[in-house]
Amino acid sequence: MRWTTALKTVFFTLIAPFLFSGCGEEKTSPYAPVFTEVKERELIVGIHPYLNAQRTFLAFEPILRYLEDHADGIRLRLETSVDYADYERKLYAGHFDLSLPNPYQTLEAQALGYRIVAKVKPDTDFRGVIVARKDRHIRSVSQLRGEKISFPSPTALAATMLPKWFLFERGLDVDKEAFPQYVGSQYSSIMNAYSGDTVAAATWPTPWKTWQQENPDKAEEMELLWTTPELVNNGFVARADMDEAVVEQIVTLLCALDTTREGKAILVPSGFTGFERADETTYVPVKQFLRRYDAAIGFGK
Amino acid sequence: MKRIRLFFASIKGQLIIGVVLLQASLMGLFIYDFISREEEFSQQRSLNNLGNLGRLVASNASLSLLNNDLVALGELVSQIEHLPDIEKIYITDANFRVRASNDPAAFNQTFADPRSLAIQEDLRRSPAGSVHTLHDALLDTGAVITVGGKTIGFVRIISTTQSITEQMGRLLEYGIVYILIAIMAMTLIAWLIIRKLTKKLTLLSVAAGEIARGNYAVSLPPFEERDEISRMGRAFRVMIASIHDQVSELESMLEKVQEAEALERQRYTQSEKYQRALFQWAEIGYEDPQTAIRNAVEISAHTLDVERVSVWFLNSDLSALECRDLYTLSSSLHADGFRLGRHDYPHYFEAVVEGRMIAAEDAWNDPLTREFTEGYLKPLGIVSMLDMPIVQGGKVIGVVCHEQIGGKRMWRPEEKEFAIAVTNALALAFEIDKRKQIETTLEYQAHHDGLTDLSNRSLFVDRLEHAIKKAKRRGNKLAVLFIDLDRFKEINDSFGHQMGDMVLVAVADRLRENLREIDTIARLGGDEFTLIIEDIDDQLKVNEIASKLVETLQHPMEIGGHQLYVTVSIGVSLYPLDGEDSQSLLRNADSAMYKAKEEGRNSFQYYSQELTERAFERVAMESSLRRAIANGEFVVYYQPQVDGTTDAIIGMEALVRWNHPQMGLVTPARFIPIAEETGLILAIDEWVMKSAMRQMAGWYAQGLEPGVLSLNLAMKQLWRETCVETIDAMLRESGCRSGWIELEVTEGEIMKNPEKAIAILGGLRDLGVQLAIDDFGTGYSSLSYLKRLPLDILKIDQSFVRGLPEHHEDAAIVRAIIALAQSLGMETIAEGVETKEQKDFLVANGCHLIQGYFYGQPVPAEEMEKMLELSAKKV
Repeated sequence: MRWTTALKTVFFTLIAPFLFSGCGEEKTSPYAPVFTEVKERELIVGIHPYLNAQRTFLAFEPILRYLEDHADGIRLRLETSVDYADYERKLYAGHFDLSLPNPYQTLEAQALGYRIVAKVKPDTDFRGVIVARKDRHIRSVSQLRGEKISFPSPTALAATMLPKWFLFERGLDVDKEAFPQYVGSQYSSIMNAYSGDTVAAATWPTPWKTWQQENPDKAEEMELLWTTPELVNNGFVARADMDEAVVEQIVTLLCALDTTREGKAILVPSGFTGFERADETTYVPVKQFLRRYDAAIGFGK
Repeated sequence: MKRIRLFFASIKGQLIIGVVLLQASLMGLFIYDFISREEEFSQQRSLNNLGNLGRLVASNASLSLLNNDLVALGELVSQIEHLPDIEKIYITDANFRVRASNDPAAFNQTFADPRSLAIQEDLRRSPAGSVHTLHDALLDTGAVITVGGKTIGFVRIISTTQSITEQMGRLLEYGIVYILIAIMAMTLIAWLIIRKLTKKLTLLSVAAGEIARGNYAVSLPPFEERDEISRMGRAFRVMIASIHDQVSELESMLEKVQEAEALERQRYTQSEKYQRALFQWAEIGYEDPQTAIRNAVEISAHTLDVERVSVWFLNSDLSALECRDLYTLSSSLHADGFRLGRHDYPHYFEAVVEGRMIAAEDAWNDPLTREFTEGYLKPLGIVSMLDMPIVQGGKVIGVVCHEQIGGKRMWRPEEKEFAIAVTNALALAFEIDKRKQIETTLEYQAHHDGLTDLSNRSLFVDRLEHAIKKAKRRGNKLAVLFIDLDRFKEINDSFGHQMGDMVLVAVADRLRENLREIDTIARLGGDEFTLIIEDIDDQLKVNEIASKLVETLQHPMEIGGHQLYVTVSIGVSLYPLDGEDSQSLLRNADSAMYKAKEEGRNSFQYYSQELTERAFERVAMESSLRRAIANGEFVVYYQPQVDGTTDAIIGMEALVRWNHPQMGLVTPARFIPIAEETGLILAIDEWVMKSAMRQMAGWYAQGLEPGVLSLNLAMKQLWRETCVETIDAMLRESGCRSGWIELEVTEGEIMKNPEKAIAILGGLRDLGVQLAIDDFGTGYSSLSYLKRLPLDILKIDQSFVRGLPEHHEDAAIVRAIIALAQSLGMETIAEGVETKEQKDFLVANGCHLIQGYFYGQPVPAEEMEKMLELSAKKV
């Protein structure tokens, strides 16, 4: 009897678990996360994509955090855009609560339900520049005739319209006598000229400066050809239905930004020196320029 | 049921069960362990994969999230949601608001369950940017979406472990199948093997039963296999056979033992007599071989009742036997000196040399002893012989002979045994004696010098210590003499070591001849001998012995066809005056011996405190000497050399003086030997030569007439390869002309290597300097070399001058030297001239150049300069 007992014990303790474990598939109750509504309301802020999305984020996220920290109960969320088309689509559709469009877009936005509440300063920075490879030896506008010239986008006021107008006044109608290339962004415009895909590139001083700093070797091979006269800088708009008190709080904070050391530091990556109050009248010169531009060169080419 | 129980009770059953159980549990454990590890590993791997997927999604989602491009985020989610095991994907903004997910209900919502909140907390803190957890059989991973190092959102992916579970299930199924197959196979194999083994065991157990019943004719298979049971079977077969044999052998042995016992009892009563005799002989002992032999023959004769018993020894070439002792029982007389030649008794000798026992009942006709019949046996009436060879160390060294007179005798075994025992005891006695002799020789060799047979150092020290103890007890004095041969090295160098050894032996013999038996003489090594003189009442006795030894030893020795003169220097230390132990007595005697050497050899000296002080002074002197060179404590003194006929200064000798800051002026005699020993002499001499040369050049430049400067050329300097160049350089450096310089070399030094000296001195003379030989007449100059040496001047040593003019021998020597110099075309100069008589004698005999106190002692340069100025004015 001893042996049979031992045998049974061994069988059940050692062998049986293996035999039966395969058959009885255990079903554990599956885990699933539980969700809840987000209660806080965020204001969506859009910046015209004069920087790429990542740079835009890095430049403006600190400014938005600063505003959140210093204003009462305001939550701000930065939303970048893939390109100007994407940005304009969102802006004109009223997707942004607050936005920083270029002067041209500022006027457009105003027409489509935004209020001009502030602008970037100073205006001296708001001009176009035309650059080219040194080894192209461009000395006169006429040398660009019949050549490819890179621009960020057709509606970029400083980087496209001002250079086009500058060239037009000097006898070169880019759209008719040369081949404008709209390459999406400021850096892209410069890189096209650097790589030789285009003979010259139009952009505006801020990206030109930062590009030079970031690519000193490449910058060596490039030269600044011409600088256009200045116009009014980028605007800051709020959707017309926004609570005025909230907008006022934000504008006050923005315009005081360049008065503190902390604020100045935050501004650096954006390439702006500060903000100042503005309204419709501030942008009259732009309106006039656009009218002349439209008459002479025309939009939408 | 009963059958089964029986099966489990058998070895076969138990072994099979054991094997199966062991097999099943080991394989089960192995598979279980393997699967657990595999599962753990797979989970870990899946978790890692999921983590990587999470990070990948995070990096892809960043731009779309920045742009709030919900469509793009949605596409990203749908791209990965179909991957196997993926359950849930959430892409959220920095506030964990879901911006895209495969769970539509989650959109725009935020996580609310505790686990999610915990994961969120971990993610916020995670430095790696990702968090993995395994919970509820789910793999849960989260990754941070960043832009430029800033968090803009998160990705969370939840995956099931279903594929792992399925894989493990499959592994388990295979494992179980393998276990079952293995168990079946093992059971079969075990059953086959065990059946084979137990079959043999059964056979063996049956056979054992049969044997127990006394039946040895059991039939068993041959067990030819190699396993243990077959081996046991073979052993069992052997055992049965051997038991069978032993039983029958025991039975027959029992009978024999009973017979032998009866016989032995009878024999014992007889042999008792011989035993007692042997013990008796052993008690007498064997202090020396002669006594042993004497005892052996007497005891053998009495015990065996034999008329004549003798002991003979074989000579070394085995050609003869010599009788050492012959004992005649009836007269009790011992005799010896007989001799048997081998060629007369070849058969007998052959047997003896081969170590065979010769037991001849009828000796007249026995083939081995027949050759003795006519000349020996018949005349003496010997009829039976029992001769036992004595064997020592495997070699026959002699024989013990028992000769029976009267009726014939048959030698009984116990008598032979007794004779053998006596012979062996004799051999042992000789062996012991031989060892004693060897020991004595070794003991002697350990304590004696092999060459001279005198005591060696260890025996000497032993005796000395013994003598000291004795003297202490009795209040006596004793003396230790340290004897060293003078110039023994020269004998060795000139005549060779063999000759040197012969001299040592001759000296040892002379010492022995002149001393009492009780005085211990020893050779400590080399040419050093020591001597203890005990029981001395006063120093006079020691004086007497020491001077006798000095005197005796200086007689010429005739050795190897040469007549050699050997002298000794002896140092004496006294107990208890100069030391109370052997070491200090020996050391002090040694020091005294050196003093004797310094005092001019061939003499003896006592050790005294003064000598010890001098030894210490030397050490101090050496270190001050080194300092002195550095400190510029040396001064050159000049002793004028004068033409004895005109009293005009014709030159001077430069002598060094040491102006010691504490001791004042130290004479060269005190420091030159030390300087020579330490090699400092080179530096000192060079300094002296340079200073003197410069001084000389200076005097000539001043318009003075200092004549020729005599400089001592150090021995060590002379033998240097660069000697000539060095002197040349010094001359040029000092601006001293070579014609102003005379270099003095010592006779003894030149004779060390005359050929080389001739070459070097030739080189020096080529420079233009004059050469003088110093201390002439004191060494062993060879005249033939003297002739060839390029010398200008012979300097007569002051030891000869001192005795002038009264001492006839000195006068004769000086006259001879002068004559010799003249005949070789050399000038002579005498040093150490102190009196007018000496000067007059020298001048009269042709030596005009005089140096010594008579004309002036060595003086410093300033004084010499005054003397020169004075002399110049005179002129």
